[in-house]
Amino acid sequence: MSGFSSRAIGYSSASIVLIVLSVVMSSRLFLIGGLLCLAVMLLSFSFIPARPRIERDVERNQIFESETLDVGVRVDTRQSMGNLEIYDRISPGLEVRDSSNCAMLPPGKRFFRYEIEAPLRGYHPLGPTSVRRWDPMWLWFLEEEIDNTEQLTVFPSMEARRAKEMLVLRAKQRPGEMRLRRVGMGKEFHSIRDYTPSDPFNTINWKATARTGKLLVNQFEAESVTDIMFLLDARMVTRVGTMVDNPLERSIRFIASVTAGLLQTSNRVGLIIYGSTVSVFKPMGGPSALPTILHTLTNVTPSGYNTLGATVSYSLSYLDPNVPVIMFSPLSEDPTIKEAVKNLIGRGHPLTIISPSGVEFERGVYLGKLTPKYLLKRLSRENLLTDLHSMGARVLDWTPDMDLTRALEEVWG
Amino acid sequence: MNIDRSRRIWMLIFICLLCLLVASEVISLMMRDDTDLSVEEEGRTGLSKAFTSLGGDHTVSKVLTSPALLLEEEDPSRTLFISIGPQREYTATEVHTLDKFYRRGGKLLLADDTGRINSLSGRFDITIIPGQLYDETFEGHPDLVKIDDIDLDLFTGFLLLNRPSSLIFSSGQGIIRSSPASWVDRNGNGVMDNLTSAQGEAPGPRYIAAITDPDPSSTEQGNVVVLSDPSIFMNDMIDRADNMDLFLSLVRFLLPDGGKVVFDESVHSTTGIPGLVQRGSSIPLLLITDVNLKIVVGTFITITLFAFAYLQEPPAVHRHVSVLDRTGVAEIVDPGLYDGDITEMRKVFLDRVRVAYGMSSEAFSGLTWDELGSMIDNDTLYDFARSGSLKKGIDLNNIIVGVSTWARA
Repeated sequence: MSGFSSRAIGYSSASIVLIVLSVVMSSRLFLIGGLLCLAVMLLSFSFIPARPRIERDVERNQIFESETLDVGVRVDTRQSMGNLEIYDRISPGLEVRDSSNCAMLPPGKRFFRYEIEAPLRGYHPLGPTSVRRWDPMWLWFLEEEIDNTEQLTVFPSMEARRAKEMLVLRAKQRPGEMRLRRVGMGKEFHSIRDYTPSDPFNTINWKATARTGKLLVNQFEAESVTDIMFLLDARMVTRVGTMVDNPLERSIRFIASVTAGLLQTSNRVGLIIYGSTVSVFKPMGGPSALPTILHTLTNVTPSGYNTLGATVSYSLSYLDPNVPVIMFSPLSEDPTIKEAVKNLIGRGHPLTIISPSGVEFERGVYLGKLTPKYLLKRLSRENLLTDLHSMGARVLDWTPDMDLTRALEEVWG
Repeated sequence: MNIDRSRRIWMLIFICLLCLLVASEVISLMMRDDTDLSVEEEGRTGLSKAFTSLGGDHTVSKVLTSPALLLEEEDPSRTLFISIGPQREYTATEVHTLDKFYRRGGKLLLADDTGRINSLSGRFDITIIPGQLYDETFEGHPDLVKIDDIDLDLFTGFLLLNRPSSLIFSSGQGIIRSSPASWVDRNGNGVMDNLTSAQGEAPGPRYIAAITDPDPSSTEQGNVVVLSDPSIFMNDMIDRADNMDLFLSLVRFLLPDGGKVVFDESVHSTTGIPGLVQRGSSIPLLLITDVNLKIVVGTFITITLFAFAYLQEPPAVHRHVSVLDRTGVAEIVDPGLYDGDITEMRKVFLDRVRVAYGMSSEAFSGLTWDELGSMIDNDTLYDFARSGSLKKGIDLNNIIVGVSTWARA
């Protein structure tokens, strides 16, 4: 692709005007001026630098939210005339903290660096690099993209230390491995239930299957300290507020923090995410669990309008009996919440609802203004929270001014 | 940055040079003060006598800015354009315009001894040869050449020329010529030398005036008379010999039925207000004349197209755009309350009452209106809860404030 600058229009206009004036006024001076102008332009056009070689140096490709990262770009081209405009594209979810990802350089071996900050989790592309090769007078350019895209993984930020402190305090009464009368991945038989696609084949109870005509699997007693199931609302409505601070991001940071703490204390963590689809990750533990859950959380995108009711109906068969469920949802725009909560509690799952307040985040968008619609929605939410509490759920109304540590304390403190 | 700085310096140099170029041309045009052979000049070198000598059947005028104005002449066949001793060359546009005037039947009387008029007279195959003509017959001084015994249909008499030059032509016919003893000082040294070369100074008759041949295929074609000595018509010379007769005869010959005589003053710089008008309007006038208008419009369109192409798709400015400051709303897309919100507000209020009294939904729905009224203890809110509509004078904002401040008695 090629293009020209406003300066090129200026030069060409000047040369055209001078030549026209020279014809109209029979002026040789104007003719010389016009031709000179044209000649300078044409001469400049013929000095375009050769295609450069570009390499990007990134010190890490996995960071956590709010961390910064140094990026260096090496440019190498042989021709000495002309100019280079290098633009190293980065994801719009990243911010350039120091220096710039765009550089105007003379040809040759050059290097420039910039620092980026990642305020938002996700898989962020670095690149491609756009190169404009300009003539010496910056009149026109040839543009191309060099496909050197890399992926930067930004995990949600974690307050794992604080979470672990609180979890350890709470787990002190029953430290170490102990047998719980709950279904898990131990060796002692507990019960039989319907087969789900994620069950391993060696758990199928073939005798019971033959007897009943449908696939049944054995369930075993758990041998870890605790299994916890997180239920994350990732619908479109969780995106209210800003990109960096909204109910979904808060929930994810909370889950990441608590997960790290739970896994460090030999617990197992499962995850149900609903939005446009429902994804169920059965409880897992061990060293590979944290990266798996972090990657899963990193990949969450707010979308869809699935209801909690449909999600719970779908996931109940994946939930081991009596497993505590911690639900994260702004509890907005979903008429099935009460029924779903009743359903979960009725199945014996201790339920904690951590509800980042969607209406409060939205109020922030209106700069804290008290609007009639806000009042209505807030009252509606208050009613709902009271109802859920009266159903037996533990409810935390997480307002935007309550930071993660305080929310953790509210739940586990 | 160094690149920015050097770019600015080059830009500045370019703009300065451009301004200098334009300014020098404009200033040279504005500062010119050549009043010789101008009809405005009443001294000995002026043309005021010739200008005032015309009358009767002839309307006399002058063109100050550009002869290109002749394009607007409605009856060219009855118009005579007189250009005597131009102080500058005619531009291509002017030549084109006068040629057009001629082809529409216009008449031209041109006189020059410097060759400046050749760009115009060359169109009619007549060329002034620079270099003073000397002759054995002169009056008092070799510069004042005398041409005797001219016997033409249009003029009979003798002329006294003042430092004339000569002319040649490839079509048309010569009407006045010098004696066989005359010669042209081509190299300007005042001596008859250089006799051998083709451009030499060998003696022989030289033509002083020529007239174009009428074109038999065109009834509209005009007529052109070219003289190689403009100064015979200047104030100091026109009254000598039969110079005035020649001038009047030529005018009569070219406009036998009378008509309009236009003196070209655009090739002489005039003074005073006419001078200001002349200087101020000559360039704009040139720019909008005939073919120039097309050129200027074409140029303007070209530049506009360039600019439009640029504005349509300017090179994107490389700047990182972050989406992190974007905000989203869902429930409070519109901060106000409208009639569509009445149902929800009623439900919210009833839920609020139910929750405040710690009742289940089933128990609450079993209440009578009276029981509910005593629980609410507020007539406005009770009416709203019962009817699900707003009474006159009460709007949704009143209700929402009432609902939000309502508490169990």
